[in-house]
Amino acid sequence: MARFIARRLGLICITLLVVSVVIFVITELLPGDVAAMILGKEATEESLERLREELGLNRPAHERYLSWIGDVLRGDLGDSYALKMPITDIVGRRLRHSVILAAFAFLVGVPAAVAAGIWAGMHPNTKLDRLISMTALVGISVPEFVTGLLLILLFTSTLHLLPSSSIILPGVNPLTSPQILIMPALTVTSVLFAYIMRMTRANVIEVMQADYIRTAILKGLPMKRIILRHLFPNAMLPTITVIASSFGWMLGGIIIVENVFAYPGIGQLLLRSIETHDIPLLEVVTLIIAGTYAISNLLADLSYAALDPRVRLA
Amino acid sequence: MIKRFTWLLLCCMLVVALLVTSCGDAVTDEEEEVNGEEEEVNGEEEEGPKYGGTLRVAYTPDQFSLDPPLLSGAADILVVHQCYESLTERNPDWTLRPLLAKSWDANDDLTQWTFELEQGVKFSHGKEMTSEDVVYSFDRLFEVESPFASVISMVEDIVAVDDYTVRFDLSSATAFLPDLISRYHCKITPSDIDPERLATETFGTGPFIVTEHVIGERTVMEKNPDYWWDGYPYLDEVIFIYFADPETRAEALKAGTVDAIMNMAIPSIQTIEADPNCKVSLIPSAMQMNMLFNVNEPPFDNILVRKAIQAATDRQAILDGALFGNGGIAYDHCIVPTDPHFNEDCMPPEYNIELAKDLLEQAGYDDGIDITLYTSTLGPPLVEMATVMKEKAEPAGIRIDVQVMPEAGYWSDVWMVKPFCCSYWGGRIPDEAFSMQFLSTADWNETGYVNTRVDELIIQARSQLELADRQESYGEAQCIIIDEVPKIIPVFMPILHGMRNNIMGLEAKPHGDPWCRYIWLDN
Repeated sequence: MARFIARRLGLICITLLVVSVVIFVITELLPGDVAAMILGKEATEESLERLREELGLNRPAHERYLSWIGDVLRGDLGDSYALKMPITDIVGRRLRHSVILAAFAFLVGVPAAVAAGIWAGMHPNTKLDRLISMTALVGISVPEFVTGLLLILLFTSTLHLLPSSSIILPGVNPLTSPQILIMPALTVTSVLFAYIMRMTRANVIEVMQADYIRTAILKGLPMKRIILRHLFPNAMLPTITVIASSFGWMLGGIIIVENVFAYPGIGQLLLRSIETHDIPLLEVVTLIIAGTYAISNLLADLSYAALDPRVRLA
Repeated sequence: MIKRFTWLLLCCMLVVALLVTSCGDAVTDEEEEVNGEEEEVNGEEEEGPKYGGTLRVAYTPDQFSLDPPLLSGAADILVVHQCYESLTERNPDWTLRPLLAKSWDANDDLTQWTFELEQGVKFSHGKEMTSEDVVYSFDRLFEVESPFASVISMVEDIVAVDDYTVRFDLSSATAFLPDLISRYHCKITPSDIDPERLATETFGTGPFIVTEHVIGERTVMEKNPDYWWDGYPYLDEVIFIYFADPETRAEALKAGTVDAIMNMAIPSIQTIEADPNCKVSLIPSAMQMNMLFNVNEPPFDNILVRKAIQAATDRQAILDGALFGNGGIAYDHCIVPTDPHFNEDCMPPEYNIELAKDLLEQAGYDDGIDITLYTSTLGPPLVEMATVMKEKAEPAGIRIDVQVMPEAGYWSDVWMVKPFCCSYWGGRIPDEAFSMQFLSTADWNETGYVNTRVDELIIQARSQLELADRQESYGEAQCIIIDEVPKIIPVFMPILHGMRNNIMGLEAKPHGDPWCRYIWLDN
């Protein structure tokens, strides 16, 4: 077990290293650079040259990458090119906001999806099952920015229940004003819901055909007990992988949502760092998201092994 | 299980919401007209500004540094305007007012300008503003190679004559120096503060002081209690809140999460005007959108081709299509029709397909011409302008392929590289606008246009103190530029702010940047 975890952690490190190289190369290939972005239309050749010099952009690409990765390995994330501030100062606050939003969406979305999936799987092809599936499919098909704007139209413009934007005003934090989290969380959940619900439903249908369930029904166990003891653990096994890896997806998936609702998390930061070609900031944010993906996948595998004694990790 | 019903309910409500909002437009239009009349009545009964309160402004998160000589982000510029002051300031009507300089004078050949400073004005950290700070600020502007340094490159030396007198020695005559130094890069900063701190803090003489600056989230500014203007500012606090998405800004205003959107996006006008709690202040400005030729590259080196495209430009259609009819028509040069320097005697041809065809034939393109127009989704509606241009020029045989390029890198890889592309310019006084766009030696002479007579006229106007003389110089320059068409300038953009009905003193001004010192809340 310990060897398995160690090997996986090693692989995660390699993955992150590859990600950092890919991001660096892609950013290098994009048109424009951070100096041109900062100075904009008012840039002159001299001022561009001076700024590139100041930021060290004149050095060859591999040299810049190596010195950056060297600093990161020593624990120094460096300064943002565009904002000229330490990246730890910028990212820490944003990451906290994003984790709160992702956790909130997760806690709302996952239980709802699992419950709906179990019900639909136990009553397949009924009208309500079809309705749930259809709703879920609409949720997954409509782009998040459309879902977000529809929610704003409904809850803010029409019902006047919720604030239209999730800006964090002075003296406010997302934990004390959870109302700012509701619409962004619903938007993220709309995609996640369909995914987990469909998965659960399919597994429930499959497990319901199993001999042990028939036996349990025939020996007269109460339905509640069948669901909790026999159906749920078996049907949930494949779903757990999806749920665990979806946390990583969520942290990445809130990029659009954060921009629609003006919620100051890492998604907004990521978009801004791409726009401004701010490579150090972009790298750090991407690595956080990629790292979350990798770790949540590892957790998925571990929980799978813990729940199913048939799975041996070696 | 309960969640399931919540989702069902949500779906039904979404459908209902869509129906309600789509049917609601016609009704709200009428309501808005009635409301507009009420507002005017209220306006007449007004008793005068009220003090206190917080103004929350939605703005785009275009931010880098608050250091005045290095400003480039739109959000930074707006914050700095509220916290720092220049020697002079432009009034809403484009005239110049004294600010930190109470008066100024030039020698006869306009090569030496002397400014008398206001006395007793203090920076927000308590230091008195004197000539050493003015000299320091301008020295630093050149030292850090501010983008503005090339505009005032005629300044050779700045001398502190005494504590309250500063002299600018110029290498060439300029009548416009007091105007030029009203720009945001020329704000006066104190000489005793470590310049490193200026990126995120403010130490100005202005009406507000930055107390919290969280990049990408918000900037909180509090009233400067010792502000040197009696009775100003009215507000206790101004908070800039940054939203990347213009739709979200508009929704936040309608919901009352913010009180105003400064420099609002044009497509938001209708939805904000339809809301009975909100109003829009809009004015045509001198900000121009243009389509520029590289006049040295074929086929645009042929003046007949340029004139054909000029004749195939439907300015009204571009105004309607790209700006929803807001703003003003432009005539291929940078002077707005309301400016006293505007020359009514020279006009480009009206939209005329036959004329365009004739000109194309004369140029040797009997079967029409295929050209590519490069554009991008940068702030102003350049893509919309290009699309309308394409539609309207097609019947004349001018087949335009519109290429939408990525925003990143547009200014470095497309603008002044591709022979036919879109750009835009902020509103500037005639000298600055002509010098930056049409002077053959200018860094940003984006068309590569060289006309020695135009150069002569621009330089000559700088030393003309009488309006009539300048009218003559700029008038002739306008005629030449219209005739030789280095670029098509079809429209001037509007400046607009959206706000809640209780916001007073925030009117759109043609020079663009709003001053929070005049704003008050009518609660």
